[in-house]
Amino acid sequence: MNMENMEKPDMETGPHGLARRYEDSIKNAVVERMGVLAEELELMLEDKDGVYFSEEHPGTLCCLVLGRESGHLYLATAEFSEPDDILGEFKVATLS
Amino acid sequence: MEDFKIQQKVIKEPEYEAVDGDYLDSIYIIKEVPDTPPRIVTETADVSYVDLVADDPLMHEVRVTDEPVQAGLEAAPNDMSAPQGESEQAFDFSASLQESTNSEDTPAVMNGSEGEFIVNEPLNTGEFSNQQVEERESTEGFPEIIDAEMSTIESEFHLPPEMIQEVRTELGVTRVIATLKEKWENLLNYTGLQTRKYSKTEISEKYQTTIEDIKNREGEIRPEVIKEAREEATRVFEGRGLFTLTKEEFNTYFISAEDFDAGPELKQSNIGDCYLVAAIHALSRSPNFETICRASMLRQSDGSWEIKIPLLGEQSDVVKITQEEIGAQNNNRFFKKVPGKISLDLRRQLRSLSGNEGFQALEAAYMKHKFGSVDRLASEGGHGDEALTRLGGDNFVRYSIDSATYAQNEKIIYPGLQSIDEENLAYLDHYLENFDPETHIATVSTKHDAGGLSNKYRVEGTSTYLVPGHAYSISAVDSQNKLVTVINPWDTTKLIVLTLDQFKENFSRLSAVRINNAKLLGRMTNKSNMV
Repeated sequence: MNMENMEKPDMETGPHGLARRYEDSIKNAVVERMGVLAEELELMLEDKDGVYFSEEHPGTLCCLVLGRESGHLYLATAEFSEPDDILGEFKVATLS
Repeated sequence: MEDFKIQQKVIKEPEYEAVDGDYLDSIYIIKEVPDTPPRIVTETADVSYVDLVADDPLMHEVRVTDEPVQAGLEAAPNDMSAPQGESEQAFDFSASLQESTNSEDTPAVMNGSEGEFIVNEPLNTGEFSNQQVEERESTEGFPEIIDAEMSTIESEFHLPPEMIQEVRTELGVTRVIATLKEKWENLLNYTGLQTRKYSKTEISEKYQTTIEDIKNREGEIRPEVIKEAREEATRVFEGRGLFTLTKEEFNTYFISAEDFDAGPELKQSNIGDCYLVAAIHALSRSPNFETICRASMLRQSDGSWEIKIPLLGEQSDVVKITQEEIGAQNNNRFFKKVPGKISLDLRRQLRSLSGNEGFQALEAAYMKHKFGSVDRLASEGGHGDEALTRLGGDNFVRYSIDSATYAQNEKIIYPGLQSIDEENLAYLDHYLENFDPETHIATVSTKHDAGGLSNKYRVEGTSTYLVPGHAYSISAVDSQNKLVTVINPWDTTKLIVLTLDQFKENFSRLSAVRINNAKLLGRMTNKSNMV
């Protein structure tokens, strides 16, 4: 993919780094709720706005997840526990 | 409230000894210890006391309502570890039980395996106020509401019913719902028996708390977070650098101030392209509509449009639409015979749809792409899925179900969607049950042979009229109440609500698409396809 015009997110820290660390858990949440294969899922880690902390619900990490086969775009959220730097309570919805 | 004060007195003053004439209004838990008189150990207004009783075989519940309490009933400290056998006067448990079983007025009570120990004081059932009765009745649909909420939540996941049941079982949701329903039923009984009035606010708060509890348990993401995510997704598309229409331009040429609750206000003009206007209207309801338009359309400074057809397609053609092509055209068939009919064409001019300019440009672009020019006569007659597929190309996953078939005389007949085979019917039902206007884009067409020679016919058992052989967009489906809302492209501000059976009876074809985000995003990195 041509990513040269995109702002490169910090892959190690911030929401992107967190999502990368929990990539398997996020995918598993989508797999469990949506009945899709983990192999077809892609976290939009390369996009600045693909992973972010919700302003509507502070402390919630939001991650856009693409179903490459189905074409669905999913939203996976998780509660961020700051002192422990961990994610939990994964939830999933279909965006489109 | 006088009753309640006495109840408080009992709780606060362990040594208080109730006498004839006292009115208590509560439920007491009796601790029964062998060789000692039963003791009141707690009073509670919380339905969870049922669990307390169930956990201890020596604990029994006694309901004391607005009848005079018996003399000799002793209030004990609200402490289960308190020494037993210190009372001088014992509560005559067996006598009360006898009284209770002789009462024909005793209503059903909360009971379980320990029901044989429950003492029911007779109630003055006729003394409940209208407000109390109303309050109770207003909450009686709660179990059904839980089921409805569950269905709504589960419909988000587009799973077949057997998988939903499997997931429910695996997560223990079925048991949780059963428990919630049971506790709510208990609460209903409790509020019905008590003279204390639960206000509507309290009932409403309890309901909301329970619903929130269910939603949290089910892992539902809050609507505002989903809305925020859709905006972020648009920014992702924007971030990939391929939008050709600015947000401001999109707002100017597609959205009017009153839009987007029921969708934009569109009206089919005097040409027979209902399928196209319905398709554009259905498309406009999608949250992806902004993305699709902004990435596929360009408005030049001279007012002309350049539109990629298919929208966002990999090998799209760029269709140029001028302001003249959007405007009204003279009808070169004016006052001539209409093909296939005995009437004359009385339209002096042929006009584009009524709505914002972006929609008019889309309508014109479809015609030009299909017929080589904005030929409004040629575009008369068609199917919604054909329009959607041409506009969306293979960025859309396409669905189509058609009940039309050939009769023995080789004429096409339109028996309606209720006549399709079981497999397709199951598919149709599943589609409708899971219909989400934000994900699915669909049009339907009525039976061509309905209504005889009339240009409209009434849906049986209703005052609703439909136009035969006409396309409508699907606006919403209420799967719980089995209602389908369709919109006539003649006026998209008016909603037509039909039952599922009426829908299947009166429509013969479903045309639908769903956007394929994987292809969409893949293509948005390829600048060579840009307008």
